[in-house]
Order: sequence, then structure tokens, then C-alpha cells
Amino acid sequence: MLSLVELILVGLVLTNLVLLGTSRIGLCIRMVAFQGVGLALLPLLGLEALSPEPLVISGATALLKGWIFPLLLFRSLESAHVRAEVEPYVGYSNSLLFGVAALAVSVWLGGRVPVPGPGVPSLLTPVAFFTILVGLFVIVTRRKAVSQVVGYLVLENGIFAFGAVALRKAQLLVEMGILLDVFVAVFVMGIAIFRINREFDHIDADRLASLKE
Amino acid sequence: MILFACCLATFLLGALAALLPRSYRAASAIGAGASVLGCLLGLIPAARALVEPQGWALTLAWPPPFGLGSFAIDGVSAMFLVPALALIGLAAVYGRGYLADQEGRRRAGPPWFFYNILAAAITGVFTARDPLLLLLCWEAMALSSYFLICLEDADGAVRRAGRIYLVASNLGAAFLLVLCLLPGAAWPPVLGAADAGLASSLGGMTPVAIPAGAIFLLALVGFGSKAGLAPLGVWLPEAHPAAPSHVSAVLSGVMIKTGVYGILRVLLALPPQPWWGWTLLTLGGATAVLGVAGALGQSELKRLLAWSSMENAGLMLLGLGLGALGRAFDEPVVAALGFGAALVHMVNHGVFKSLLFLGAGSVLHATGERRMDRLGGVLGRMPVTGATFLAAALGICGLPPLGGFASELVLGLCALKGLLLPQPGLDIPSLAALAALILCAGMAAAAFSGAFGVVFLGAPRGETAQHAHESPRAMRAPMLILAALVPLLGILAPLVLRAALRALAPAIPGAEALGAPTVEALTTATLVFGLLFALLGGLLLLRRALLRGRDVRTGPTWDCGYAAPTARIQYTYSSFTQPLAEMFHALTGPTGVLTRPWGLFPARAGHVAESEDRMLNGFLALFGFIDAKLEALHRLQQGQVHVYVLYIAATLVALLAWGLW
Repeated sequence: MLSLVELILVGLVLTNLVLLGTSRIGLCIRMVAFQGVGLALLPLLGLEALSPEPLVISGATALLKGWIFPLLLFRSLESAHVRAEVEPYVGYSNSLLFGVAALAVSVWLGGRVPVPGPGVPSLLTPVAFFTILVGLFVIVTRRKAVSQVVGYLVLENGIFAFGAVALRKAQLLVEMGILLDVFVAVFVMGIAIFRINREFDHIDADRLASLKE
Repeated sequence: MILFACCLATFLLGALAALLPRSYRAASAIGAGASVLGCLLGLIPAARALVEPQGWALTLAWPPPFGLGSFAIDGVSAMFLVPALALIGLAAVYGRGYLADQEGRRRAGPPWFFYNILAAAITGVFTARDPLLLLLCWEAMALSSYFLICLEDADGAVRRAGRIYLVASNLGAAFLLVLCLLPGAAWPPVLGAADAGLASSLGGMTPVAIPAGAIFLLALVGFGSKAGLAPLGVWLPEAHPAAPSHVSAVLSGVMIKTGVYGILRVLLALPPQPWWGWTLLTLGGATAVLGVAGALGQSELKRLLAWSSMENAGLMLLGLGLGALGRAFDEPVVAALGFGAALVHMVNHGVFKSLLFLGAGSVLHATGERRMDRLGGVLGRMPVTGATFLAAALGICGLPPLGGFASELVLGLCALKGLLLPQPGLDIPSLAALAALILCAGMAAAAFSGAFGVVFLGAPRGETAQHAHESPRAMRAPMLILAALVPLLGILAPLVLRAALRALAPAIPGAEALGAPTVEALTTATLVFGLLFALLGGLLLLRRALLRGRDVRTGPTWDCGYAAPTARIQYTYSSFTQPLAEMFHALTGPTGVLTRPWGLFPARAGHVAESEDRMLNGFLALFGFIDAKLEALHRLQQGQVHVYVLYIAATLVALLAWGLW
């Protein structure tokens, strides 16, 4: 069982690197969807007996992260008529270099944090932290509002990964809170993108600086 | 207790109800009515606590964090609460008449909403027993009074005054925030709630041991800024004149006393060091002298009154300083008399200062003129306002047998006692306090005789003063009641002092017995002056009896040959006070620009008198300096979401790395 969890975690790392290296927004959204489906499996692994709660969480997560969020994002991408490129401030190869550095830092940090419980793979903390860092990096360096939403989702995936494995006991509470947060965030962002596009004819977050003071 | 809960509920419900009706009259009737009713309800338990020293407590079923959510009235609270509620109620009646002519110009709901909130907040400040509740009431008081000050918000000067008030008040509250949120430590016992319940509500938090001196300094700055302590009281001369007059009366008569209340609480709860007393005496003396010097240099009546409020706050702080010294040197007589003098003066000042503000508001209402040098001869046109203003002015000058005399006498006696005790370290401060007291009393007499003379006596200096008319009954009645209280408080001064000493007795054992000789001295003074005035009255009656049946002619005084004097050759306020004001140029700034007559046929000559507020200018310079230095930080404000997220991420990573290092 442990190996399956680790497999998902490695998959998380790889998709993160793809996110950093690609220039297509569509691919980014698909990667986040992959991450979501993989994460949705996590609550099911390591169960002694089958109970309805993890099943529901897993199903809801898969539905939201794997289907609804990508659908919403693709739809807003279409309706806003934006070029399908990420338009980063930091180039793709530099982003990948950052990814490697972030991975190193995460492993170092993860080594200093005690493993949160028995049966938790030691890979978990570094990977979760790495995912959070990548999410923040995407938010900071990508120009499009859509890619910022992607960044928030990646960030949330990192938190979810940690919560799903480490906090088996108080899962429901944590997860429902997080899901609700993100759902609202995507919802609002979807509307905001649509509106911004209609009002300003662009959805580049860097050109929204007129609100400064 | 149930009455007290009803009092708070009346204020809060009244505040909301005043917002509902569309009609101006209904809204102001509800608002003012709720204030008056709430004050009456609150006065009953407050007055009872004055007689029964242990008081009572009311605990909310919904406790805020770090506290019990409890209100309680003990003697000290009651001493502040009784005059506060009485004044708030009277000012509400006055305010209804004062704002009546605003009908059609603005809605009546908001001012009365904030007035009732202010009333509830002040009641809360005087009775709150845990730090968070106190802070909550304090902020509610600051904000509601800000909105009341800015009622005439179309006027730029009013908005500026409101801004200054808000900044000063928030600066002070910042210190209180630190003081109230220091977990455990010494603050809850200051409010008198050091029981097991509070300890349990603090949960697992370990009390921080803070030196008592730090608590005193935090309280001094936090509460002192509200009390008008120099140089933190810069807001006072700005905000008081800007507010509608009934609000000025509450601000000056009640709200600045909350600062005195807070400092008194700290001094009673903690063991004072001698340097606390010296600090208080120095600052109090400086505030008093600056205040009265500022009052001499003003040209507007309400501004003069505001500066004089500062002077009186300074006198109360002098009393607190003497009391703190008495406690520090273990001389309970000085402690009891010093605190007692501050309390008695607080009561008296509340009465005559709010009456003065109401009178000034009445003149403003009738003439629309703020500047004293455009008024004159108002007494004949507004006899009730003039007579009540005169009573209050006599009271504030400290003339016997009125209330002001009694409180200043107690303060003086306290200083004399400190001077005569063989305790080293007490004599020089007492002497300084006595000197400051006497100086202020003299200068206040000059300021108020000038103000009354220029505004109410003589001939009108302009059109506006000529067409002055007496105010409506709703405004006259509160003024008459307050005017009756001024001599009454003088006659009842021994009782007031005894009540104050009884309130202090839990903190200073045997305060009543220690102060008994002074109470007797006050009684004697009252009797002597009573006899003197009876004699005077008798002589007047005798004169009238002797003149009866004889031919009495009245005519104008000899006018030195000027057949047709104009109103402009009268003394103005600035010319009246000029010799005294000139002595304080160093404090109030250069006052005059003189244009000398020139040539064989001089065409123009003049003298323009202005006094600057050096404290305010100092603060403005300081803020300008800070602003310029912080300009560099503007570069951090990029206005781009990306960069802000980067800041957040960098901070989080840095904190994490720091924590795990």
C-alpha cells in the first residue's frame, strides 16, 4: 500500500515539473486535473475496512478536481478568448531550475519535520511542500489570471495531499473546509475573469495595477 | 442591577429606534427621549452605589475572550457615573432644541444614534470590569464621538478637527490596546475583577510579569490622551469647538473624565512609586498652565472653553499626582485628599463646563457668530443664557461659595498638608502644585471675566449680535438646572467630598476619617461665606428700605466728553487679555502683527492678534517628518497581485525556514 501512495506522490512531483515547463495553459489545466484524480485516490489507500466516508470524500474530490474545475477553467478560457499561452515573467527553463531548487529545499525542510504519524511515507512532507511552493511560484510568475487560478489549485493540492495522508482521523473536517474554499475561489475567479475581460478587454493580471491606491 | 441593564438596553434600543422614523421630529424625540430615560434608569443604581460602598455587579451570559463580560459599580465608578449620566441627560434635552432648526437640512436619526451609542459607551467605560470590554466601550466612545463632532461635515474646518481627533484618539487607544491585551498580569486587578473566574477564563495563558511602572506609563499615555494631557491633548481645542454644542458639553463635561478615571484606577490598584507622582504633577501642571495660557489667546468662545477644559483636566491630574505621592510615601492623608480633590473637581467641572458650552452654544445658535470680538451686549437680549453663563463663569473662576471654590480649596489644602508634613520629597512637589493651582485660578478668572464682559456686556459690535434672541425653552431648561447646581454644589461640597472619600475608602483604608478635618473646614468655609452673603443681602435690603420714598435718579455714567462713542472703541477680548497673554508668548507663540500709524495724516493702523497652537504644530511637523522618511517604502507597494503574493510566499517560507532551523 505504501508504495502506491509513494507512486501518487512521485506523480505529483512530475506533474508539477510539467506545469513549470509547459507553455500551454490547456496542458496546465490538464495536469492539475491529473493531480486531482491522483489525490482523490489517497483517502482510499491504507484503509482497514471500507467505510462510506472516505468513499464520499474521494468521489467528491475526483468529481471537483478532476472534472468540474477543469471544465470551468476551460470554459472561462474559451469565453474570454485568450491566447492559449501562459505568458510567464520567468522563462520556462528558469522555472524548471526553480522547480529543482524548490525540490531540494523541500527535501531539506521535510527532513527537519518529524513524520506526522505511523504508516506515513517520508516522501509526503517534501512533496506536499514542493507542491505548495510550485503553486505559489505559478501565481507569482504567470501573467494570465487563468494561470493564477491554476496556481491556487496546485497550492491547494499540496495542502490536500498532506491532509489526506497525515490527518486520517480528522479528515472530513479538514477536507470539506478546503474543498469549499477552493470551490468558492474558482467560482469567484471564473466570474471575475469573465467580468474583467468584458470590462477591460484583457485578463492580464499585471495590467490591473490601476487599482493601486 | 436590573435597572442598569435596562439603562444600557434603553441607550442601544433608542439608538436603533432613532434611525427608523422618516419624520425629523419623531426621530429626534425618540433619540433624545431614549437618552433621558436611559440616564434616569442608570442614575438610580449609580446613586445607590454611592451610598452602599460595596456596589454590585452584572455579568453577561456571553463572556468575551480574556474576560468575564462583567459590569460593576463601586464607589469610584459611581462618583464618575452619577455626574456623567446627569449631564448626558440634560445635554440631550438641550440638543433636541439645538438641532431643531436643522429640520429639512439633514436627517435626525444619525446624530441621535451616535449620541445614544456615546451614552452607552461612556456608561460602559465607567463600569466595565474586564479589559476587553473596557477596550470595546472605549473604542465605541471614540468612534461615536468622532461622528458627532463631524456633524457639520460640509465645513472643511470641522472635517479637519474630526481627523485630528480621530488620529489622537487612535494613538491613545493603541497604548490602551497593549495595556488591555497583556494577558493576565496586572490589568484585570486594576479593574477590580481579580477573582477565580477571571483566572479560569484566561485559560492556560501564563500571566506576563510586567513592571508596574510600564503599566503606569501605558495608562498615562493611553488615558491621558483622552484627558487632554499635554502634549497629547492636541485634539481638545480642535474637536470641542467643531462639535455641536450639546456634544461639546458631553465631550468636555464627561468624556475627558474617562481619562482621569482610567489613571485613577491604575493609581488605586497598583502601589505607586514616587516618580509616578512627580510625572503626574509635572504633566498636570504643564497641562493646566498651557491650557489657561491658550485660553487667554483665543478669539472664539468655544475654543476658549476647550482650552479651559484642558486647564481643568490639568488641575485634576495635579490632584491625582498629589494622591500618588501620598500613596508612594505612605501618607494616607495626602493620598485621600489628593484623589478626593480630583474627584470633587471632576464633578464641579463637569457641571460648570457643560453649562458654559451650552451657553456658548446658545449664543452661537442665536447669532451664528463664533468670534467673541463680533459679539457684545448679548446679556440684555438673552437674559437667561447670560445669567446662567455668568453663574458658570463664576464657578469656574473658583469664587466662593460656588462649587469650583470648594474643589480648588480641597486641592490647595491637600498641597498645604503635603508641604507641612515632615516627609522629604513631598514638600517641593506640593509647593509646585500649589503655585500652579493659584496661577491657574488667577488666569482663569482673567480669561472668564474677559469672555463674559466682551460677549455679554457692553454694546453689540455687529449686526448679528444686535439681532440675538433668547433660545427656546428646551435649551433654557437644562441651562437653568445646571446653573442651580453650581451654587448647590458649593453649599453641598462637604457632602460631595465625603462621598468621594467613601468611594476611595476600599483602596485607602480610613480615608473618611483622615479627610474628616477637611470636610469640617469646607463646612466652616460654606458657613462663613453663607453668613457673608446673608450680610450682603441684608445690606442690600437695608439700602432699598432706606431709599424707599426718596427720589432716585438713574443716568448714564460720565462718558468723558465723547458724545457719540461707537461700539468699536470697546475693549475686545484680545485687548483685555493682552497683558497676561504676552507673558506666555513662549508657550502660545507670537500673537500680534502691528501696523503702526505712519506719516502726518495716518491712513491705516491696526493690530491683528493670533495665537498658534504650538503642540499641534509640533505634532504636524513630526508626522510630516515620518511621512517623508516612509516615502521610500512606497516602492514596495507595486499594485500588482503577483508581487503581493510573492511577498506573502517569501514571508511564509522565511518563517518556516526560521522555525525549522
